[in-house]
Amino acid sequence: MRNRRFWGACLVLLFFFTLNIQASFKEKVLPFMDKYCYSCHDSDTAKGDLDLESLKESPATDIQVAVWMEVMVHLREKTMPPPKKRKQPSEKERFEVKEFVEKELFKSKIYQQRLQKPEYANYLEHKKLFDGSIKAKPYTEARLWRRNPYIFENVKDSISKRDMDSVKQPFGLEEKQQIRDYAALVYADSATLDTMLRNAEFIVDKLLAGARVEIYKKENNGDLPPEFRPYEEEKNGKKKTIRPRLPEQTHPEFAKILMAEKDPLSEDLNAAITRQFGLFIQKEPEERDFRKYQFLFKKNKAQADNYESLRGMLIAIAISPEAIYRSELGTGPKDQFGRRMLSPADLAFSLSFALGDKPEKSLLDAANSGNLKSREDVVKLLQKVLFDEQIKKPRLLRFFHEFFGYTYAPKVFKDDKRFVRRYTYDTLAQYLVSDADLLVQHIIDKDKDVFRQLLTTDKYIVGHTGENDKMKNEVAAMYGVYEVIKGFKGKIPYHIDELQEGLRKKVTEVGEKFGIRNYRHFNGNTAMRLRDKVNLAMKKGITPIPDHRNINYIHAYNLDPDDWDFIAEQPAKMPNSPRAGILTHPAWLIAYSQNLDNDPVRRGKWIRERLLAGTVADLPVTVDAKIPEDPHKTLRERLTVVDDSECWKCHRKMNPLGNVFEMYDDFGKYREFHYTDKRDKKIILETEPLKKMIQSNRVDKKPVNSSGSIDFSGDSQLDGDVKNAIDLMQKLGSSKLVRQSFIRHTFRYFMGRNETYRDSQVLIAAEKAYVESGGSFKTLLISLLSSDSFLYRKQVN
Amino acid sequence: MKNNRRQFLQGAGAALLAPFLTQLELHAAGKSEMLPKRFLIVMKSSGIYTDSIIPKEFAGKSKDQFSKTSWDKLTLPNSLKPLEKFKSKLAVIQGLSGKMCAGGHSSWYGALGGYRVSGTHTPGAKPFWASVDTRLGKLFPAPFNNIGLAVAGKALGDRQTEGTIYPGISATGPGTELPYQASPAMAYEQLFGSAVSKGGNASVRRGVKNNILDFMVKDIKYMEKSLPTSEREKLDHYVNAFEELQTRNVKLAKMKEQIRKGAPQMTDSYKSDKFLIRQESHCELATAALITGVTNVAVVRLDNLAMEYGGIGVKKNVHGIGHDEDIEGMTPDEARERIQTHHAKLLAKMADKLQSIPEGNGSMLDNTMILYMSDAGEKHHSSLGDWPLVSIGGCGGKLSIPGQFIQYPEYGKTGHKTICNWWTSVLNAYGDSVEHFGNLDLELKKNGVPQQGALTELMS
Repeated sequence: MRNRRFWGACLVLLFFFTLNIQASFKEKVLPFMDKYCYSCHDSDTAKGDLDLESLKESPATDIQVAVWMEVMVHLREKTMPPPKKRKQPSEKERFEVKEFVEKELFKSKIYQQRLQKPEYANYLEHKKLFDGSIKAKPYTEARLWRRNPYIFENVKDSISKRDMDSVKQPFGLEEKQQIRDYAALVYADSATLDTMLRNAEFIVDKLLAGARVEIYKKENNGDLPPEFRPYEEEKNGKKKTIRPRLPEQTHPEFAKILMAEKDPLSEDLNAAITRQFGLFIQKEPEERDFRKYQFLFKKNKAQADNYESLRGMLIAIAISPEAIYRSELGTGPKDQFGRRMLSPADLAFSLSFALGDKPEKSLLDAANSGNLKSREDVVKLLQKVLFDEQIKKPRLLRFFHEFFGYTYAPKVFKDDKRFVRRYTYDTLAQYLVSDADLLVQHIIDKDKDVFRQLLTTDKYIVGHTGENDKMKNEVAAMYGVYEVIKGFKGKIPYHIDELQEGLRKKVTEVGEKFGIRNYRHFNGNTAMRLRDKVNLAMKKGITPIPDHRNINYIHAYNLDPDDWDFIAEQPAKMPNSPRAGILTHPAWLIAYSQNLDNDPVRRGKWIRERLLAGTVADLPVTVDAKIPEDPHKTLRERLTVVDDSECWKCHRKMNPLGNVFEMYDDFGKYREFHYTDKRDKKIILETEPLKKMIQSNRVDKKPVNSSGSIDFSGDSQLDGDVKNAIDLMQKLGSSKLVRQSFIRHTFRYFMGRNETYRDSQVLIAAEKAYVESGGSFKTLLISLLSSDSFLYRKQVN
Repeated sequence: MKNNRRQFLQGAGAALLAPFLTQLELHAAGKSEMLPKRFLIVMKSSGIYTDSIIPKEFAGKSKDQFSKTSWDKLTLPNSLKPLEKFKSKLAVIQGLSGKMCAGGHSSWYGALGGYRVSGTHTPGAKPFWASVDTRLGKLFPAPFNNIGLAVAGKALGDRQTEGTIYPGISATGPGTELPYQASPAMAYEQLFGSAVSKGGNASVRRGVKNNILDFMVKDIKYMEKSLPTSEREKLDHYVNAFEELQTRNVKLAKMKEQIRKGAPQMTDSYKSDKFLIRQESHCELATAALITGVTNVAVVRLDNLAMEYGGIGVKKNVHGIGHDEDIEGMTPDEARERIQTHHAKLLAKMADKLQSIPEGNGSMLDNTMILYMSDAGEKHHSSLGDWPLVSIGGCGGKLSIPGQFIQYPEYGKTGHKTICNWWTSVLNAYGDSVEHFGNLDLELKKNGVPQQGALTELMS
């Protein structure tokens, strides 16, 4: 009876609720559409294949969700009705309809699933996240988080560094230029198990091999098994005794069980279980773990001997869910908002893996000694860990890899011949990526005004190790050695001591004086190279590059190794090309280029999404997006194909931003002109023959157009025309919107998920901490990693 | 999906075995169109020199026209002579380039993937995407979608010759290599052991492995109880993976008779560490794997650059021959011919075996493509201007190549095509509708040469 009443009440409520939605839809949305949208997008006209008339109030299918999302973005960014139309809705009208649409979208499971993916993170309204209107208590849903490839590599290395080539990575991440490791999106499937099982069998056999040898010896009067006995081999008429390398020693906990003639004792099994947990899971087992793995051992024992039974048990531990997933369930007491704090042990792991690839000892110790129980504890520990240079924190640099995506440069396939002769493209791109890494690391280390610096700095690190003292010593050693050898004219014999007794020793000593050990390998060839290089540089009045490696890659910065006056103190402003931050760095420009040319569309999309917190709708499936081929036109000219078409509604959010980088070619070289071959009027894409062609007057030229604009950013002060990439980066570097967008991305990477509206307070506090600390990235991290979003979990079913 | 598998394991699994039972029925009924198609890719190192596979009538002729000529009217070159019997099912395709891949000692994943990866001496890089063999494996699933057998690891610098190895030519997806088996005895155990082996350590190990699978399934399900729904789904994926292994075991158990019939006898030669014996064993095992139905796609990696064909009188390793070093009693060209003739004998043996098994209106060979090629294209230090391919078998009627010598205009000539067009054709013909497989050749692209899509002239 009571039940019936209850359901009756629910039905009544549902009826009124539905009525209310319909009322809103009928009273607010439909009249709005009628007034501003249907003239182009009713069922008959359906401009751009968009029919809004048939739209239902509650989106139920993928397509409906996509259309509603597009409507929401147009309302938010004021891109529709087209700005040139005179009839525009009032702020109030926009707001009401936008709120209605978003509310309806949130009811859709499809929309909620989309919001979990990195590519849809920006569909939340940026302003709402930072205006303080949301007071909800932040938390992260209780979750399991699969280990990432780096953690696996670390576990592998800690087990053994010898003969581990057959151990393969089971935890791959998708190759995408975005934040990739999201707890909700990565999981272990049959491909993971296949690799895990193969790895486990290989490693366990390796771990037990030492004991097998011992057992054999015990049973055979100390003789080695045949495959490990020394044998003689004859090579080039000489006999040589080969002694096969013996396997590593087996851990005593395993050896004890293998050597035992009887069934192992319970405590021996527990010791083996503890050891295997330490190796593969890096954690102490719990009581239940002992029970269940002992059970498995005994079950195996019914069919097999100690060796096979132990082998099976160890394999099982190595492929168990604990060896794959880190648990972040929240086991503290429930607070009044239904949240639970992470247990100290889980927190120690979560913090460790937020910053690096292995459990950090000081954090584990703190958890064990009761000093990791509160937010204050976390702040205190992070202040130590983040600023302790001895503790490696590779995930900081990796965040910027995933945020900027420049590490992708070597994967953009380009023809070697188009750059500098006798140069492989792969090597070029690798060098550029390491230069970019050094620059980013330098800015992280300085920890001041970090985001603005990353976007605007005109000081680069090129042909340099990033260690100024070392480079100064390299220069000093080069000149020192030059002084020793400069008197020898002509050819210098390979063994330089043939030229003068003790010369090699002298050179080595000069090198050692400056801490440079390479001069120990000095020979006639290197001597002549050094002498001629310094002679030439002296004539030109410059300092040559002291580095021995192939330095031709610096052409990408418009630097010529023969003419560049090397700067030992870096980062420094480089001559010949204007640059501003990572986005004008050759590594980034290549990473976002096509095989044969620039890629203004992807670059513009990148800025729209990563820096302006905006969105660009997915490419409609019906559109075959191809830039028309025409060897006589520049890319920008060919791209105008989208200007006056349906494509423009999306491309206007990308192309004006991406076009500013036309001042660089697709290797990142600065350019002022496009050159065409006088004979066939084709644009010249190869950089190598160009120089000669210009000299012999075989080319025509026209100036590069790098102008662009920022539109629809939501910040009227930011919108407007820009002259070129430098101008754009200066504007973006000082923008509050850009800073907040950076913070949203930082949140995503370190939380392993997209932000939600309920994280608003955390984002606001993080921005405050960042601004008040003068742009310290580490302070921002402390704020995020000690926030409710990081510390609290809630079970949501 | 998840429930189905569980129900199956609880005893309602007959439905899942249907594809296998149907397969037997199809055999009986002779509905060859519906029978699974099989692929056996035989990959040699150090290139297949163009001149060694073109018919004598075409030797020295210009290569600027497309031509498709029946082998009936042509004479086999010396190194293909052992395949005389299969002339009506033999195809040689010549003139396809592969400059989107890395030239030199090996194209690594390029041969079966259509892209440049690593350098001429450096095999270190990871694959970009799934290779053709694993894509085909998905089209024709079996207990093992793919198997790979290799006498040695990577083309260059890898001396491992036993256990699981990674020759660096096949990939299951971005960054994930397909493991190959180097030991014939272990391959035998993995493929046929469950059906044929009696007692011994292998069967003890199988028993223990089954214990682990049971244990893990039960344990994970127990753990799931304390998790929120979303995370339970995550563990479900993992538990499904264990159940898939159990399913494979059940499938293999149900195929026991089929496997027993088709599997070769375990002999001591499978335990041999001699290169040529292992090579022959791999060919036998791969053929038997197709015959028993435990897989429909096998790749045999015949050799690498460190191997020496001393057993057939070539006293120099493959790398040395490639670099035209002095060889006792023969010229490098003669050495190459002797090795390729030896390979052709192996191919003939495999084809013979498949031909001896009746299927539909013909034999298993009619539904099979044995494809002989090299990961180094047309020579030891390849420039990949040509990538010779030799196919034996009826190809399931999907391609119009059996019995033909096919020549494409050489690089730079109108109508020239690439290895990626070939793989696109194969995938399209067998039901994978990829628009274009592999990367484009940028030089051809720059010059506006059309290079997208399949070679329609080769499709039935």
